[in-house]
Amino acid sequence: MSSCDINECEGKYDNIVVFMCNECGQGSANTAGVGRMPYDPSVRIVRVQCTGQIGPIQIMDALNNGADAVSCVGCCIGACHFFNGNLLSMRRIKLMKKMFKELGYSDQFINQYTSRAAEGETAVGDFEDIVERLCTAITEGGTFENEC
Amino acid sequence: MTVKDEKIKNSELAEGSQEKMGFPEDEPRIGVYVCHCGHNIAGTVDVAEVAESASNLPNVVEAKHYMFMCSKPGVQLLKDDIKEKGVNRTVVASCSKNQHGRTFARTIEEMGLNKHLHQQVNVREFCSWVHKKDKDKATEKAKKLVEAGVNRARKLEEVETKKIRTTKAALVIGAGIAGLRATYDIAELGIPVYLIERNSTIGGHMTRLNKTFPTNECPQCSISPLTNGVANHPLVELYTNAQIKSVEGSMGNYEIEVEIKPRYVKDNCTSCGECEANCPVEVPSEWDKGMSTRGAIYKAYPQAIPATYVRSKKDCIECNTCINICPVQAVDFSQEPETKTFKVGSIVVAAGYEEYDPTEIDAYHYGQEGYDDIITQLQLERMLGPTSMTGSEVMRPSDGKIPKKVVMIQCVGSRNEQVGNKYCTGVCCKFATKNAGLVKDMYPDADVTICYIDMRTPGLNFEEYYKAAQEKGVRYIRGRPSEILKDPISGDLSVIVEDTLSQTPLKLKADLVVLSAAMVPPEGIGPLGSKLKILRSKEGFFKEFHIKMNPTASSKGGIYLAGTIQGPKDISETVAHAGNAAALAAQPLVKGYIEKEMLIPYIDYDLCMDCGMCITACNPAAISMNEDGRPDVNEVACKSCGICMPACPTGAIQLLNFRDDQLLDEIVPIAGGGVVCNE
Amino acid sequence: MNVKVFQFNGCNKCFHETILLKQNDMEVELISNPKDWKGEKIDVAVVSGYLLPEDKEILLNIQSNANKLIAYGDCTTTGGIFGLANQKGANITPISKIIPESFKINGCLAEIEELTATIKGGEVDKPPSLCKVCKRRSTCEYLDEVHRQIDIFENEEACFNDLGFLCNGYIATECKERCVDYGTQCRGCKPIIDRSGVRMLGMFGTLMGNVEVATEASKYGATDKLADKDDDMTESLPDIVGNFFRFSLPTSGLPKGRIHSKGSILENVFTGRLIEEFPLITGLLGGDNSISMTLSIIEAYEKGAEIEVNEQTKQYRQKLRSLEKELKNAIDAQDAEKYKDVTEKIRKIAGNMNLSNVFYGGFKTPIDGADNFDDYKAEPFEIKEGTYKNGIVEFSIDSKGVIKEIKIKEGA
Repeated sequence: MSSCDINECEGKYDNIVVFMCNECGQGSANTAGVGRMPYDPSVRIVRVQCTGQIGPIQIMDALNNGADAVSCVGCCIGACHFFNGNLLSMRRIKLMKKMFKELGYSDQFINQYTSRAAEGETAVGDFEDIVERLCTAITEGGTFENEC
Repeated sequence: MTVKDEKIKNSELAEGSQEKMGFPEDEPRIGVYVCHCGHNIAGTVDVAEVAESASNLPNVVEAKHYMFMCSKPGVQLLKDDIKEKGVNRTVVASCSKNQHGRTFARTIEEMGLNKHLHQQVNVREFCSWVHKKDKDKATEKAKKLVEAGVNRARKLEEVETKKIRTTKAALVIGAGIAGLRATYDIAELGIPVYLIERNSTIGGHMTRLNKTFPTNECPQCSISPLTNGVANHPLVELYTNAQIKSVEGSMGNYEIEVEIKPRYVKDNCTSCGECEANCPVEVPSEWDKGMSTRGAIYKAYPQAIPATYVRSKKDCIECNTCINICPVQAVDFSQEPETKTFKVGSIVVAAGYEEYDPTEIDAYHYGQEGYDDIITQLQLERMLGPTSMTGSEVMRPSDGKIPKKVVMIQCVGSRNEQVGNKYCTGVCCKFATKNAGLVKDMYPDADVTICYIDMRTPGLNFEEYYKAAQEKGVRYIRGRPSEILKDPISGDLSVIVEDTLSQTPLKLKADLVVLSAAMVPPEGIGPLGSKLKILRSKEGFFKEFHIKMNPTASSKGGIYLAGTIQGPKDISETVAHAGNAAALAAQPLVKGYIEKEMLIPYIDYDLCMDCGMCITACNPAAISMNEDGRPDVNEVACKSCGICMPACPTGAIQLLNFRDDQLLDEIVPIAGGGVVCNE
Repeated sequence: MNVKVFQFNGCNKCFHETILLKQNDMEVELISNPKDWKGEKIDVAVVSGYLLPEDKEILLNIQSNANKLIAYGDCTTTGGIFGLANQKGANITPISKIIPESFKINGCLAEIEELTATIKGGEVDKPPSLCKVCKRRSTCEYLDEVHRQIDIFENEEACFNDLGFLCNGYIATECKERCVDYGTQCRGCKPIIDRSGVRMLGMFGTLMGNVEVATEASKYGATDKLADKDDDMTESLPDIVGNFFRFSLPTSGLPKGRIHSKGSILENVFTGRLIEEFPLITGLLGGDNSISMTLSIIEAYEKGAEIEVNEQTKQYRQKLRSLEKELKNAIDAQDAEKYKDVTEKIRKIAGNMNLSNVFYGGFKTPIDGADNFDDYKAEPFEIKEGTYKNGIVEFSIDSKGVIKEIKIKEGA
């Protein structure tokens, strides 16, 4: 993505919600934990059955309640344990990205990723990418802020 | 009989009634337990602080921290609090759900609570182990995770586990090698099997082959114990000329209607062959891939099972010769199609594959007039086979001469995006090598060339097999032929190819061109898929449940895939695949019941608009319209994925324990606790 | 009963619709400038038009004087079509943020029967969902491509969503305006659920779900992530905000837009919308000028893009224009009978008061009582990039048919 300096964004975000599916998503985060692979403590994981279960409603709920970035992490393309949940989620997130662009925001704070249960690196890679993209959004001044 | 068996025997098996267990009536009393896990958690997270902050949350009656929650005294804490403090929901903040989540769920189940009222919070893998450097933030994060867990626990509902009785019978679709293997394996477990084959004989593609790689043994000899074993098995009912009409039901209990077309020959046929010998009709034989002809009344090949002759109604001119000539009066034109209904618990789909039809590739001129000497590998197999019309000789179809130059072209219809098949069939390199070697053995003077893109002969013995063919003198040229040309005067064929290793364009003269055509999904897979309500991959085969861990289950519970219907395979892979499918299909039938957690979506019919979006989104086809035109969830077929939830435009369908409001409660603390507006 | 109707900002169609209350033995007064209202005790206050934060005091004054306060029409309840201006930073506020306990009647145009029932009190029957009464049938199969209404007209049976147009019927209740009967997808003005746009986004995302999504591999070892470039499917939906949040942007939970614009609220509503939506929006928000406004825009585009218009169409349009004048007269005279009579005549030609039947090049569905539909039928057309103008408006559209810039003459 962009070449933003992550250190510059430090302290400007503290809530990143990651919906992780029960299969590869949770699996990879567990593997990352077992491998003691450090990542940003702002990343917090919500366990769901499949990323296909997460719709715009949940994503908006998270953003409206203070999340700086929301992501879904599912199984690899073609390896969704429920066939196409990850693809459906990708499509919806893509629409939401477009929606935020239309509203004049950055589209970098909602994302969809895939990971592999046996490789903790994939989960950590996803988290790092989330942070980097969020950082891009912050430097561009395009993040979601709650208004009363 | 063990105690557990006794329990199962005595317990009432539920049969389909849909009753939501729902929200327990008691006020939620939540117990929170933070585990130290030695230093694993406590070394990074201030567990006392986490427990303290949890104790202030609404509905929390107990908040403790303990060294090892999974140990006996740790588990005892839960038990004591449930008994003495009236705790009715538990939140344990320790390791992952997979590791000890079940331990605690089992514990509260022992204490008489529903196991779904336990909420596991992972503060080890998701927190302490990965945030070692930042203890304060890790503690903060742990607090939020526990708060989310408590919020979730507050609204958790009980989920019933039902036992569903299964019908002890199986249906196998397709009687090729995969179907036969699966049928035999299931029947040997004492389960009755209905075997359905759409052709008039069983055995499938394997019976067409001349030799099998890498040992060059006779496929007919390898398969006949199985064909005979199945045909004579007391628990197998075999129906040929049969096709699926409709499929109803779900995992454990299916009802299938099968239409059986008549053979027009009664079972007392002695297979003497008088009828075919006197039949005036002569049409190309399908079984022989057009390399021989058959009558309108015929038997596909001499060893065919069932041995009874069959009449093709569309080819017959109704001259009645066969009726008059049959010595046992077995021919009966008055037979009618028959519809049978089978009740089974599992279905194995082994509908096989089809050889790709190369007519689509214009540059290779297959099937065009004047290009008779371009054939496919299966046709070559038919020529080489022991029962071939040519007496097992390779002959040019145009003039019957033995070819001096044979060119084989690989990847016809596979690895070809123009025809829409990106995949590698994976067996063509092996069988082209086999056939090239066999031709070379028979005619040592003949030039045999294989034009390939990549030579793919993985697996035990195959590299040696490939080497052996090269030693015999089979020439391998790396390059995909661009065209087959025909000399307008001499009529000779030549294959235009660039040898990409030496980068020289070549024009190979050929007396016979053999196309190694891809394996593609069989005709009719689409309608079969929609009857069974199972998904297909983008290549058109039936899609497996998981490519690595569950390659034989289909998208729908109780339907299993065997062999090439799931994707190209060679015979040994097919047999292994079919054996696995048989084992999975037999499991619930041997056990007699399926245990199913009723973690299913519920529909708010006041909000539901009956649009049917959930039905489209539901991959295991667990949702269908009922007689009133409203969607209904089949609790047995449901796989609890929740994909239906965002698909619903009104949010009427909600997965139990993952409802929007339950997720929202969990999201709020995780997202930062909401925004406080001061107005 | 003493009823006072207050018109705040924007379109006054709902406001004028309340003239019909006079047929119900009610003492009705229409107050078009609530700022100047002195205040007196009343039984029922009806509020229409969109609200801005500065209207708060006036509203609270009205509330303190009235026994019952009813928000009438989408503009007041959810921000309505004007709420789309929030995309460009406007501050249109739904009534729930000022007076949460008010009665709310959704709709654009909101239904007078519902208002009458609410004024009288008592239970109001819940109407069935629109899909239940729609004559089109849905299969809800996954879509292969998304269409726009400029591509296809012909199919009269298939559900708009099956064709790939975006119809909001799933989240709407049955209504009097019934755009679906006039060849127009449901605009979703009467949602049955909160945050209907967000739900529809999820539903439509699912419907588009089996089309391949562009992904890219991440350098960190994560296998796939969403590529940032648009793919065909998202490109075929150039206006998500306008399509999914047409009436509910301020109440949908979406943040206020950040696109800076110097334009007026009306201009901001139009920018970013699609060319095929343009006459539909003017039909919705034009108030008593909606007919002339819609037709002038249509004619501007027809002239610029060389879309053929038949004589019969022109005649009908002329008739609509004269009916608009009659309607104004009826409003000036506060004549309920006449008002009803004229609106019925308009409905006969334009389908409904939102003018769903009026389109570029003709009409979408046959007009009752006319002989030959082919004489005035609208045909699919191709988008022509460019700038279009007539006396009142000047607007430019891009190659996808999105309105980039618009200027509306003062006072129009």
